[in-house]
Amino acid sequence: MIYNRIEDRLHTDNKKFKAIKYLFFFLLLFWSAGFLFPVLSPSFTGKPFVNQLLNYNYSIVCHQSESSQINFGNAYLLVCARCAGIYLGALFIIIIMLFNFLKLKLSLMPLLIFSAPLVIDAFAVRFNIYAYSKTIAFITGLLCGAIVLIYILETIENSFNLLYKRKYGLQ
Amino acid sequence: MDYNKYLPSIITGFGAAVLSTIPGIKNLNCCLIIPAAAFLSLYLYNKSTGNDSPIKLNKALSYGLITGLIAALFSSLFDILITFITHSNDLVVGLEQTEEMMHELNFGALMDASMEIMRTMVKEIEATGFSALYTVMITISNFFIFSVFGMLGGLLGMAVLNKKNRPKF
Repeated sequence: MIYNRIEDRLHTDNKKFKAIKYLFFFLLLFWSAGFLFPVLSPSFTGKPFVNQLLNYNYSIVCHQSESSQINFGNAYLLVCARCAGIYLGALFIIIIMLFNFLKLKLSLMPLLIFSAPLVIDAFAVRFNIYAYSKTIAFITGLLCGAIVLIYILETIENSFNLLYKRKYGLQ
Repeated sequence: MDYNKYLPSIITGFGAAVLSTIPGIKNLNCCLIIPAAAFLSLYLYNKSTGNDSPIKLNKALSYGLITGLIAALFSSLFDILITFITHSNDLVVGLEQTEEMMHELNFGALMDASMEIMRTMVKEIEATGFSALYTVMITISNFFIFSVFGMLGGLLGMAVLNKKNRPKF
């Protein structure tokens, strides 16, 4: 009977974690759709008010320099290539994690390995070691965004497990 | 209530607000400044207490949230102050271009009304250096976005610090 209770409880905690994953997924989806808006809906691109509102919203988190924004014809994304990489990397990972394709217990090393290229690229461009490349910025952002979200979700999952274990005296 | 325990969040939040105002620094790693500040506040808290026990989820989220809120508060204040001194900001600079586009595209009455509000804000800023509506707009946006990014930084800080402090067998 106790075993059944624990099983039920574990099922509930998994549900909670799944809900958190869905929450992250929808938040990231809306956030990404926002900065992809000029590309996804070209008819709205020229509408100043919508464009201005979205532009202002993303200007809080991105410098939005035109030379570093990815463009498709005349339509520019509303964030720079690096930021676009970070958000799309995170979105890609949350989609994979929604289907439980990825279950990792990571040490700190992957975080350093995947984040280091972004930091090195940012400093190299800043100190004029090489010229800014949208492709490099996008790829390094992609790697960093993906790994950061994996760690964040793993932390939340571990916290849920710990809370559950404490509550039922399993630890 | 012990306010000293939130001192790391206040200091790092203020630091993040300063950094996010400086154009050169902002261009370096734009959206990572606030999460990095939240991470640093958790790290400083751990250092100040000398406690190696794992950080709990609520602590990570609250430290991240406070860092984000402090950063939003000071960032908005700096923005308002700079606007007040210079009588200009991104909205003032961008409005002319927006109006030109508007005239070319010839939108309806609703868009005209929206643009009228923006024109009023710009006029107020150019005349006095202050617009109440602009202040409310940037403050709400900053508080919302910075607090979300702060909490994400807190979670990342928790992941890293808990792994770092994990007992080795």
